[in-house]
Amino acid sequence: MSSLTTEKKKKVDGFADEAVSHLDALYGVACKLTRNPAQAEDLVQDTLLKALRARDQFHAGTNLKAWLFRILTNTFINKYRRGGLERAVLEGPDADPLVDGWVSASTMRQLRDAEQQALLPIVEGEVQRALDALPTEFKLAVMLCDVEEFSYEEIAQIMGCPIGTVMSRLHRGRKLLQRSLYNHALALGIVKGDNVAGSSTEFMQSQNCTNIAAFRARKANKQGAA
Amino acid sequence: MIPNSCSCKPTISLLEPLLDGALDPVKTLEVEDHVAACEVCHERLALDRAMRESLKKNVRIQAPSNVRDRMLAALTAQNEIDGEGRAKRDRGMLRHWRTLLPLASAAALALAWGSAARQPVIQGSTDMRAGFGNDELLRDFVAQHSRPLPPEQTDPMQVQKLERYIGVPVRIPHFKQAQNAHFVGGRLVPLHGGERAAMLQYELEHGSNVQRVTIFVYNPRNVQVGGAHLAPRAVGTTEVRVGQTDGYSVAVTQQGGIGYTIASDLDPESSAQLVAAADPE
Repeated sequence: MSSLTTEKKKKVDGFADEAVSHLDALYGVACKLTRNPAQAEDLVQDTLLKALRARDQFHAGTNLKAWLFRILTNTFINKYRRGGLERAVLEGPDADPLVDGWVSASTMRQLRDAEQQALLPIVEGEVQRALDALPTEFKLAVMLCDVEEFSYEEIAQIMGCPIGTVMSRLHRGRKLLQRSLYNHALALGIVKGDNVAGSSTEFMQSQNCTNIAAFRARKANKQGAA
Repeated sequence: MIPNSCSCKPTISLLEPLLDGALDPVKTLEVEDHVAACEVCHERLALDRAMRESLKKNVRIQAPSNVRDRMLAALTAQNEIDGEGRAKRDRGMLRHWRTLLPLASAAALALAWGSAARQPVIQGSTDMRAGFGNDELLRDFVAQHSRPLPPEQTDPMQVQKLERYIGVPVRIPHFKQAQNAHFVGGRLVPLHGGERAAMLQYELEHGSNVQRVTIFVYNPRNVQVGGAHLAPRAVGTTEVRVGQTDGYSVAVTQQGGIGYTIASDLDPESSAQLVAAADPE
């Protein structure tokens, strides 16, 4: 009897042990979702405790990390988001998928170079800001794929949606991030605007006009040059 | 250069799945062939990769050691509850760590004391806590307490002036609950990394028996006390981490932006009570 109890305890501790090995990943994503360290702590603790209580439902041999993230996602949606808040953003003009031929190869190279070299802190700061500004569905999909490197199928299970939806959220999320980065780089003069004919130029111009920070920065640049 | 959308079109939508590792080997080769020949798609891929690297740097952080401690304490407490078959009754109160904390720390304390008494309460849990945090500073404090340098100042007013060397106000606690405690004096102690702490020395008299208590006051933004083996617990509304280091009881807390660590000859419980009362405000 007592050996049975010991056996069970070992199993339980092994589970907690393994769950805690994913603490950094859970905490990092929770911080981005809640944008508040105290709430992130609560969220991760809720997640771990729920997982521990429901550990019988976890099938050994399957992906514990994905299962934990599913609990984290559900907990976040139930507790911190009362629904509907971001629908307006998702359906608004920002949700338009970008044309894929949005900028030229040389501009992309400039952006990437900036990312790799001296302007790294500026670019990374902008990536952070842009990620924070993403609608939750996009943000979560991008973090699960690009940071935690889950497969589409795992992300679909975590987020409770079809694989096609995962792919579309990923694509739109990444394009929004790149567009933010591009606008920011353009405003700072890190890249020069492309003279691409047609709709994408108009699109970029309309974007810049609505971006007050970019407008001010360009104005300052012009005055400095004059 | 205007992207050649005619030849790129079939490939563009496959670039992301390529990086995501979601293409089968045949498609992977096809896309890689195109990318090798197409400058624009090559750049698209490179930008996408650079973006992912930035995101990784941005999101991947290490959970602070106090968060880790709290999670471990919570899980330990939950294990205890499950083990005693009380899960149902207590489920309702396991919502927030704030309400959970006393419960968790009780379990964690039992764990710390249990192992001190060579009676491990929970099997395997020592493995669970291995390798977290850095206790060097705590050992430093304990060493200062066990082999104390004589105080530089015995006048509380003068000791308060240490503020300008450590960057936070140094208030001299008067322990109301320990009336036999008397302030011996204070001094500045250098720490690793050029930081400093104020060291306040007290003596507690029990007849002929004198027990010493040392309080270290420091700026918690610059001086981070590790002590992953300390158990978090609540004393009143103050969160205190309590345990033993090198045979002395230690208690760590933070109040009003000031860090306090107590090293003492007392038992851990008394140390916890004292450090929680350290801020006179």
